[in-house]
Amino acid sequence: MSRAGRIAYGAVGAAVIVGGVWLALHVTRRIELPRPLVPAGEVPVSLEDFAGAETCRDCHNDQYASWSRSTHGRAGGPPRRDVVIAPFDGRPLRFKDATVTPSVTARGDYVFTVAQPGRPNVAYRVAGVIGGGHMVGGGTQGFVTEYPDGTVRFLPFDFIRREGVWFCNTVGRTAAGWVPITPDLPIGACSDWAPSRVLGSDPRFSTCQECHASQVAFRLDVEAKRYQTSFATLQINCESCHGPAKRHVELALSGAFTGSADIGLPSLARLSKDQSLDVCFSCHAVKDQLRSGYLPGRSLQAHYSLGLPSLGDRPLFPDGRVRTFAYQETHRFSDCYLNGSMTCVDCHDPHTQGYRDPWGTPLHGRFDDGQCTGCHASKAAGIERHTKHAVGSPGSVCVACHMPYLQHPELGNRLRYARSDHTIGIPRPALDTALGITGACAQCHRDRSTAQLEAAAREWWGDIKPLPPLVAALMEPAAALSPRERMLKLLRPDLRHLAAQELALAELLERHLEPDMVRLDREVVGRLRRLAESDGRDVRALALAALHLAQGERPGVRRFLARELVHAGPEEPLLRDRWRVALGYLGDLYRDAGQTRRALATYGKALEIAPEDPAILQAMGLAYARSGDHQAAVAYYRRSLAADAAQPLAQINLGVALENLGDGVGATAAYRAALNLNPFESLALFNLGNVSMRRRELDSAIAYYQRAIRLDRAMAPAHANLARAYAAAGRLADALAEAQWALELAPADAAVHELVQQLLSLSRQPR
Amino acid sequence: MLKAGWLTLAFGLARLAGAEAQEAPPFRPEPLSPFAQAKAEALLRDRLPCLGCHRLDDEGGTIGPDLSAVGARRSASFIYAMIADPVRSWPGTLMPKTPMPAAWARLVASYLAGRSEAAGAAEAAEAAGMTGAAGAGIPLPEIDDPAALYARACAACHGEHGGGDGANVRYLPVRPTAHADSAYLSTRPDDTLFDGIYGGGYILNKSHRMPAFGLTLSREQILGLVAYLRELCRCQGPGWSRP
Repeated sequence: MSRAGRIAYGAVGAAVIVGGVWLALHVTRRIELPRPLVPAGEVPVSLEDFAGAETCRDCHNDQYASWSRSTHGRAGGPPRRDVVIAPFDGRPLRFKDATVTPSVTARGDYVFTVAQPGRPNVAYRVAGVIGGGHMVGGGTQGFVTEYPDGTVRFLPFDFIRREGVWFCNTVGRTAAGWVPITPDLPIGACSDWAPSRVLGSDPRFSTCQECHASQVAFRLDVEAKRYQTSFATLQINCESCHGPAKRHVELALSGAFTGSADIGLPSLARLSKDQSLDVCFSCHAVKDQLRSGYLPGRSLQAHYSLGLPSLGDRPLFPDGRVRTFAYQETHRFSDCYLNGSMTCVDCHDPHTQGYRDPWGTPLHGRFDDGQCTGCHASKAAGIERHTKHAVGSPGSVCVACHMPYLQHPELGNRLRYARSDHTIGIPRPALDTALGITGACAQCHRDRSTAQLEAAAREWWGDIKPLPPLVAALMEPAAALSPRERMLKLLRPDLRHLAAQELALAELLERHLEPDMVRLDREVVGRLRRLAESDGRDVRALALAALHLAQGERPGVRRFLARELVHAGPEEPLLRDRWRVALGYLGDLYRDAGQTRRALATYGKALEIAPEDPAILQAMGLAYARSGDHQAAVAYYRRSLAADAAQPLAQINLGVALENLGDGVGATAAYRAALNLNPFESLALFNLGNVSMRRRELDSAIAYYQRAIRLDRAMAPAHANLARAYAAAGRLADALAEAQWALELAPADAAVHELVQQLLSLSRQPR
Repeated sequence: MLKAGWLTLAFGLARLAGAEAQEAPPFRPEPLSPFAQAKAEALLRDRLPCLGCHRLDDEGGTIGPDLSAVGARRSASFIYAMIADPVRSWPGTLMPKTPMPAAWARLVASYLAGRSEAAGAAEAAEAAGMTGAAGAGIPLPEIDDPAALYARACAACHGEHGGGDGANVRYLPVRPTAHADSAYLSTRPDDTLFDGIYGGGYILNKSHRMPAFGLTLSREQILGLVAYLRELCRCQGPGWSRP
């Protein structure tokens, strides 16, 4: 053998040895991701820490007076003549299948009385009024009522001031949006019929989070065996923005202000841009809950994410305008935010809710150009040169073109609910039309085609300022590109646009990645790594979740993920929560699509980030149950309950799985355990009814279903099964009535349709 | 030519001679709680442009007088007047009027008026060669030549030739824009340059230490400065931004 050959063999041998060592170190030993080290930091705030607006008035009378006249100060309250704008005058609201009469009783109670043929009348006493119809783009008023289980629930009968009509929200039922209540509308078309949306946040219910009252606290109290709902007021009060003030009051009264800079409250004037925005985004934003128990003064970012709704819900178009329903978080897409310092309070005086310029000078109102020319001074002189509209005309006003009132698409067009566009964009008539938006130009120039409007814009202003590159990429049709090309278009760590990056990562996660991909382009992985080091925590978490999902078994990626967790410092719990929620959401997507293997893999990764998280463990159980592996489902439900025993729904899911394994006794025990935690848990009663039905104990089944329905009149399956129980007991008329009630609540449910048809057919047969 | 030069010099001297502080209306400083003092200091350090030119204890530029113990040298009324309307109060000053809520102006003036014992900060600054100049000269509103205006109002930070390398740079937390940087300036529309000069760095999410000149200079002067920046960078703004 030649010398060269020996060297070559030697080199190969050395490579084999080195490779073997590398393999031994990096492949055979799976790198464990570190467990949470930093306990979830929580600013210690409790309801006892709040003083109330009346206490604030003692020293801050001017601010109190301004606030009490503002829309926050008039945001709601107890049902009183000075609060209620809707007509509670005894004139009935006629639905197709119900009559609802709003009236005031002799005792002064405001009441909705619901009458439906064949059913007992139900009176809902109004416990609170939400809104006063103040908003220029469409102001409404809603009502809440107290339930025996301790919840405070929204009623589906709302009033809109401009049109002066009662209406209901059908989103989620018929997708017709907001529609006036008319005799051709079934009451079941209203998405809050029967009332199921509660004040406060809880995954068990649909909610409006903590935003329609001040200092909302909502939880299941397993000791008291009911929900606890509390709020300071239905106004949006001082401490909703300033945080808890009791200590501030105590310090003031003790004279401590003279000796220390600590006044017991943070200075909102000293907040950074994003901190200042978070004060307003606690309500003026669509957000996903990370942890329950948010109160003003606690970190919004520890409880909510503004970026995660881009997964699934996708409330915004790529340019930030409202696609379905959203709030003023669209400001994050504005040039004034991206390349400026603008916060909400640069234009909105938070006490009066009047308007001002960035230097604090009060302005005449919402259409005052000073809001814009305070910064865009270049446009202030000879403004018609910029606007191309005569001075004094509607088109000459800055906000007419840059912040037009846009109807929220999800609500339809029958009732006006338009909000000023806080993306503060540039008129782009062709893009507006492509997105289905009636933009600024088209709102005024209704006689012009899109082509004419676009041509006019180009003639007046020449080339229009390009969209930010990532927004433009998100707008491009994905189908024209290969998956790699599309992914590289979406992943732009070099660009500073966090909100667009959140949208891009959401698309990547939902459409381009899957668990443990055999191949993923190296450049894609590299860009995800760079995004995982973003200073936007939602971007960071989404990028980490993407790497974990698609390449989480690769040793190099696992080392990177582990390193990111180790070095996250105080950010770790915030990062983990977002990462967990993103993976949990994707797991749900796979589970709902019947892709059990992918769901389990994804939940498994979520558990690496949040070990023994009860919600993820329960989701694992549901995925196993869906695949038919009830034994594994039972194991995961039990692990979930070991992590958090106070979960009625986990007990109910455990019961369902045990029933599927033939363990009726165990199932019944689980349902009873759920009821022991929450005697108002209608799902437990419903499932006990199902157990009785299987045992042919019809009286017992009927009793359980009836109890379930008394607690939750909106539970269509309970109505349907009660109908089946009645039918089995020979009570056909009762069965048909219940089945029709089920159909009212679930008009798209084919099984319920079939049930009604069968019962109709039976009832027509001669006896 | 010589005669004209003498005339100009005589005119300039006359201005300098007249550049005395006008009598300020009385201002009564507000007694400040520790919280209010902390707020004033936070505004000075983190929000207002003052420390771009002035030093406060261990931070800030050296173009204007040190503020660390300004209360020992100047009356509260003078301090307030310089904040509220600097050119009127000290016609030859380089200091532009900063837009801010009236309550902030009172707060900052009260705070600075109380700064009379700053632990020898002024002496320390002098020892470090950071004495700062009062900036007496032709009032800014009267400088029509953009190059002269740039030299007087901008060069200390942005550099004589727009290199972002003025003498004051070492006291600034963020390096000033290099106006000679053609690649960067090509991305900035003329209107944005105008707005930055008018409203200061804060509104553009850039350094809040860059002051606003909009309440001090005329629109024509600012337009002249924008044109001068284009000379420095030998560039134009993006195509879509040009008329």
